[in-house]
Amino acid sequence: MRLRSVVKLYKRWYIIILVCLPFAAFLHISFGQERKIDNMFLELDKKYRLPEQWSVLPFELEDPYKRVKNGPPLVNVIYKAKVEWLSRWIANPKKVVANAKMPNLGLDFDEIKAVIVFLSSIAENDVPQVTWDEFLLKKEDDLSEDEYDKMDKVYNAGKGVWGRARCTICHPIKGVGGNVGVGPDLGEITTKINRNWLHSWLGDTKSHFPDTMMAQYRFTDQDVRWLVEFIMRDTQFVPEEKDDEISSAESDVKILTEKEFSGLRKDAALIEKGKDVVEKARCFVCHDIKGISELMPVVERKRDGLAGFEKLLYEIRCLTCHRIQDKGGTYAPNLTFAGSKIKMNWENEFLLSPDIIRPLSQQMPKFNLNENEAKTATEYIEKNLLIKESLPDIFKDAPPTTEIIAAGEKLFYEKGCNTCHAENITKGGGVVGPNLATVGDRLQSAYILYHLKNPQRANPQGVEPNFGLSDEELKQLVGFLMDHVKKKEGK
Amino acid sequence: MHDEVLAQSSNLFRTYKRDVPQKLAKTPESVSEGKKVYEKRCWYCHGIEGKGDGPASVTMFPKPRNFTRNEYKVRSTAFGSLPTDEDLFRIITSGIEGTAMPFWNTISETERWQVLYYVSTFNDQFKYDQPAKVVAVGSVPSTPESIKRGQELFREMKCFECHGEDARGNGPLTVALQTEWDMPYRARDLTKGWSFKGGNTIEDIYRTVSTGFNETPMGSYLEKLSDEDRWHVAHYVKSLAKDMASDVVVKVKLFESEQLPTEPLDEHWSMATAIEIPLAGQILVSPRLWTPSIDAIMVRALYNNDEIAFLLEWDDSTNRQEEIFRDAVSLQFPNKIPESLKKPYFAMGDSSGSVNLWSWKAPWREGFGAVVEAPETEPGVVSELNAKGFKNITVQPPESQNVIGKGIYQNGRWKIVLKRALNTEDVKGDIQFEVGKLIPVAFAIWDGSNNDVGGQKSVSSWYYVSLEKPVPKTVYAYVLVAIIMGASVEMWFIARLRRFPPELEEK
Amino acid sequence: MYYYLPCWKKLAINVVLVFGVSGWFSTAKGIEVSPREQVFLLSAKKTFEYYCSPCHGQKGKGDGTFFTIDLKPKPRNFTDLDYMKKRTDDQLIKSITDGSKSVEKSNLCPPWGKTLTDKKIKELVVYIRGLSSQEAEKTVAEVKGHVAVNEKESPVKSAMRWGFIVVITFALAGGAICEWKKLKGESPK
Repeated sequence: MRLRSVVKLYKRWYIIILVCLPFAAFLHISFGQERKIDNMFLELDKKYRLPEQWSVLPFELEDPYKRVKNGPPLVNVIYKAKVEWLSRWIANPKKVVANAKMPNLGLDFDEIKAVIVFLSSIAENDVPQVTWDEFLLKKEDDLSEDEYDKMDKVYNAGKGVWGRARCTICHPIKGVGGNVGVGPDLGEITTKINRNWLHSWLGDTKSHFPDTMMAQYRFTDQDVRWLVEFIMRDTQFVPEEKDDEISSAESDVKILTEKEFSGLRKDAALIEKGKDVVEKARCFVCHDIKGISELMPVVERKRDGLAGFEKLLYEIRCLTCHRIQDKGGTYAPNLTFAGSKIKMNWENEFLLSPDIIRPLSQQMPKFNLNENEAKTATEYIEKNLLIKESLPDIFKDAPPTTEIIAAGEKLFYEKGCNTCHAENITKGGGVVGPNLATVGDRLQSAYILYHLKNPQRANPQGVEPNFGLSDEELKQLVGFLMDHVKKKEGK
Repeated sequence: MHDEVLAQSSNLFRTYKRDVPQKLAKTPESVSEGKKVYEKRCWYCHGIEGKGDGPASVTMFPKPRNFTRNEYKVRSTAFGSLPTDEDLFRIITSGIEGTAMPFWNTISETERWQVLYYVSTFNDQFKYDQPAKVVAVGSVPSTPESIKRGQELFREMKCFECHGEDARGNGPLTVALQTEWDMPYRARDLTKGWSFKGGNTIEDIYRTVSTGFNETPMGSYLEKLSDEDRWHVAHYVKSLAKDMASDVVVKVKLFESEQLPTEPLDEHWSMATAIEIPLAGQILVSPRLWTPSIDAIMVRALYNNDEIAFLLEWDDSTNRQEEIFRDAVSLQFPNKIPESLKKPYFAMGDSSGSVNLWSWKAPWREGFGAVVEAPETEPGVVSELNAKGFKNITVQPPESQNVIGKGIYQNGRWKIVLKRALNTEDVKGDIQFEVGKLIPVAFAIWDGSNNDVGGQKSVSSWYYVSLEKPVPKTVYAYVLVAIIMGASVEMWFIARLRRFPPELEEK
Repeated sequence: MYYYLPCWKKLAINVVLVFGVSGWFSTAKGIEVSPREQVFLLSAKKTFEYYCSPCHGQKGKGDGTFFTIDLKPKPRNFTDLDYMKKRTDDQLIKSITDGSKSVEKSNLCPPWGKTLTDKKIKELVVYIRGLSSQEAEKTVAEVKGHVAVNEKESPVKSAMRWGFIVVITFALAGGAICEWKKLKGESPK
């Protein structure tokens, strides 16, 4: 068709569009006007948001220590914990778990009874029932010799899993350990939980407690079974024998027994009372309780659709121990500038299988990450966690010569670096600082210079003093340390 | 309006003004005018995107309101609902007590309406939600029975879990949230009437109980309590709320006895009048305390011929002492009573004027463990220091430590006695007290559980201590003598005149 | 008022604001360190426990767990009074500041002079000295006897003053009464 006839045909439409356009533009302008913020303000705002040295990160980090609700959701708590334990816990949390952070609400026995009955009424589903080997469910005394041997194997395998996962970093056992300061004391855990729940928990912590600070280890089902066996059997998880005096004093405290509870479960009046007590005592401030949380509505964190490093951070909860910018814990090294500090090849291997760098200090647990996850992590670190100023790399063009390396070695021992650092298996050294045998693989050379020049600038909490080395001395030392790579370790 | 401003600013607390003038029409022009007002006055605290994260918000606690969410606290609508426009107008006009939100009746009413229209654009809910129903307000008179019923309800509804048994804001929930979890909720100390958000008149308290504060543990009791019951609770709370009895001079009473009381719980302390002095975080020198946990100190003092003793009290919800971070208090005097008005710099003196410090620290010893409660058996550590500025602090040598002291922690309150002789040998380093003179004094408190140590503390500026001179009996004698003298002179004069009247000129 | 200004004036004000305000705010963000993070600098004891105890042990006995048994010599035992008596304070300060090599000992203790301030090192030396003696923490000193009481007027002066007043009063009263009597005596005129 020719153009003129096209226009004539659709003239009506053209007129309508022409009339509507300015109207739409006017509307857009008048409403857009409300929120159009002057660039100057946005610049000023950005300027004060971050300190000079920190880079802008692609997504906002979630701080595990700043949760909306600090306690676990109570919807299925009746399937998690034994009724007697719950009753003792609500009556006096610190007596049941030494490092409990729940306050003592001063509820009397009737109120506690009502609360437990209410909580049982909101329960949805029990944990999946796991099929255990027959003999594992028997008490130790009832096992035959064969069965005992089999159980022992499983138990020892579990002990191995426990050791590699380094659970005691976060969880104290009867007051010992737990230096991160986040996990409950597991010293009497067998009085609280049952096998099936523990199996479900270790397999997927986030399904029970989405905001938990505990990492989701990539355990296989077998790992979990071994670990459950170890925890349910080992004496460190069983309460100590108490002498008669204390136990008689404690028996004055009323405890809700399983029997009494099963009789009261369906009592509607008691459920109502329990709900009332929970609302008045403000349990919902810390716990997500079905049917009550609306009293304190806060924005739920949207976690579907997390991908890449953000997903990894959430699942493994790296920030419980590590710190990035202003978020996270202080137990493990600060990762804010890890991209400028560590070589990514080494980091990749480390994540897959953590090395022991500081023998007497903190150790990173083995999370069983796969190749992909390690790669995502190193890519993110390499790209974002960098020092803004460019660090001078004195050996960028030419590797250190053998003279420099020899001079560096001499300097290392002269200055007494071996008091705190060991750099050679045969020569030995102190363990205050990390082992330097493969430091050339681990740290970037520019960072080694940055660190040696002023250790407190790189790490304000560092114990290493500033030796006040001259440029020549620094060059020699850096060259010497750069030479410490894996293939030479055997020397 | 000028008088209004003066009246408000001279009060120790801001009255929550309830009357709202005629509403301005909400048009796109008023919104854009409001934007200009916002960008001139509000964004530094509330952030350019209204998220409560403006450049100045780092120094504030509580943090400024985040307008993108429904976090509004002082409303007249049901729990979880948005405030009405009138509510927002009232908040902007009166400010919020206990926070950095100032009162804005210095700008015109039009501007206030405009800016609140702009503020409501930050949250889409304002557009889509139905206008919220305002909570109905009845009225129940305040009678002793009403107050008693209110007290019963306080127990029944478990208000004490957050507000504490004595309503001093130290209930088990609040203490756990603050210490174990470091969460921002601060249940109000109901005895400090000046710190109630949204005013402390009976209607304001009733409103808070009925509507609750969004997104805090203070929920609404609209469903749980009947209208009358809420009034009873409000009456009870109002009976607890007191004003700060503050003054500029600590009047030290003469105690006619050989021994001044050394025990903090001694009954003789009630003889002295107590004044409460507000404290603020130290923000002159790093480490600056933007979020002090101690806001007031109560002081009273007694003296006799030889000694002077101070009783210092303050609220501290926790008694956790560590090696470094401990609860402590210190009294600061200039080295000598100033001749003129010029005093040493109130923050630890300066090179021209040195200060004398009496300091008490909670007890802690190695054997106690890392973090412990100070036991009652230990009196605490007392020392005397001199300072000529922050960097120049010296502890006095053991021979010239003259201050003794004792501290007791009871039910969330520290009570410390500090006693010293009125005059000491160390004339250069110690303040020498004189009766009848105004002696400058300043206070500082450290709260160990808030990581206060060294320069991080709550401080006051200079106040005065005055040792009251008792009224001598001779005053009456003087009066009598004066009357007799005066009358005598007058009478003598009159008698003289009468006897020898001046002669009139008869010409 | 602001929005009536011409653009260039607004810009000028904003520039001044930015630079003026940024000076203030730069101290408010990021540079403020909580005392909790630097607790090892808050007392000599904490400093010793953080920097020195890995080798010298928590109580300074030279039994630090982080010092391996291979290295020689062993770290100094500060509770050994016989040895510590022979060292002057200046030697200790120099040893800490410039490293043990500078006082002709081993090269194993590093120089701390660029990490700790002079004042801190002096406090450390005081603390280290305290490790070898038996002093416990002093708590309270006794009240010292007071010296001068508020000077009261001496009784003699007071008596003199009162005497003077009484005499004058009586004189005036006497004179007045006398006059009145005379008046009455001369009545009526």
